Amino acid sequence: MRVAILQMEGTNCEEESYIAFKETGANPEYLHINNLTEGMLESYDMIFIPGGFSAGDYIRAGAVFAARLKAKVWKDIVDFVESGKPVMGVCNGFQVLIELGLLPGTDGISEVPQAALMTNNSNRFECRWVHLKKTKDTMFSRDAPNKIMLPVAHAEGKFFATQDIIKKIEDNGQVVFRYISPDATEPEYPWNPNGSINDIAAIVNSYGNVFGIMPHPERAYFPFHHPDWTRNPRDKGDGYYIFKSLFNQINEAKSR
Amino acid sequence: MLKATITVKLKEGIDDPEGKSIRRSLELLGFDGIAEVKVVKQYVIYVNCNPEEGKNMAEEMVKKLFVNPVIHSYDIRVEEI
Repeated sequence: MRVAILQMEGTNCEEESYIAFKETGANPEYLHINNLTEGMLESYDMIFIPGGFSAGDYIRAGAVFAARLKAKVWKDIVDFVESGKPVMGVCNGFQVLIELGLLPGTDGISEVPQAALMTNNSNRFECRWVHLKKTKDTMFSRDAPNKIMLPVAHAEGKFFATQDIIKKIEDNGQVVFRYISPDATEPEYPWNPNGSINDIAAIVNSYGNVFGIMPHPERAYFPFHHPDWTRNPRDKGDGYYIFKSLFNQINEAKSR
Repeated sequence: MLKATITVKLKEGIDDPEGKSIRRSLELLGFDGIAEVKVVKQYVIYVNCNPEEGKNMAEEMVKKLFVNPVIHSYDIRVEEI
């Protein structure tokens, strides 16, 4: 399983992501946008866009990364997505997928963005652990428990779209994880860290192969990543299951 | 020389947390009666071309980079200087 981890000026979660894929058994490779040429992506089994502050988050988080990908290899990305291979974006990567129009993708790939990840309601950078409830089994989540904890670290993570689009996302069942409070009730701030509509933390496109998530699974890969790891022993960190789901899915698809 | 001024703002009715926190800061400084504060972004671009090309170029920039049409509205002004 060859994973292309895209890099550009300002991405900063590629190393953790690389280690997570490697530990899971995949073959990750860094691919800098400056070295990206047409026809290159095709040979990979998956595209991963890591978190960070691409282009310094100027203009809007993810906007420059998305615009440059679009200018360079848009056709290759469209072909990749339409072939059904997985594309995943974490945090800044999620913002890029939204700006590219690959997500929410309620009716396939959109020419213009259909949604936005806006400035948090608090107008602050929110950096803490959050509780998440799994609301859909996808190739990115099927092996994850129903409740997990992951860290968020973003200033622009409030999922926003028009009511029509939100309705389509919900009707299609595209929400994969939602923020919840520790007692599993509806979360107020800070448990919904950004004010996302319907507590949306992660979504998948309607076909099920493009996934964006604001919290960081790669930062909760090992048990000792968790803040309570000495008191609450686990076999794996909660983020591990996202990578494991993908790994199992791709290997099964390949052996078929 | 051409000067293209591109103003990008949040659409009517869309929450502006930055504006809200600036309003709060202003109130703490003793400014009373503020109904609302809105933050807009302005890009000023100087380019050597004719006004029509400049206008088209600015439209392209808006489409490719400056605006997310879900949340933003914009205005382009082009003038020769």
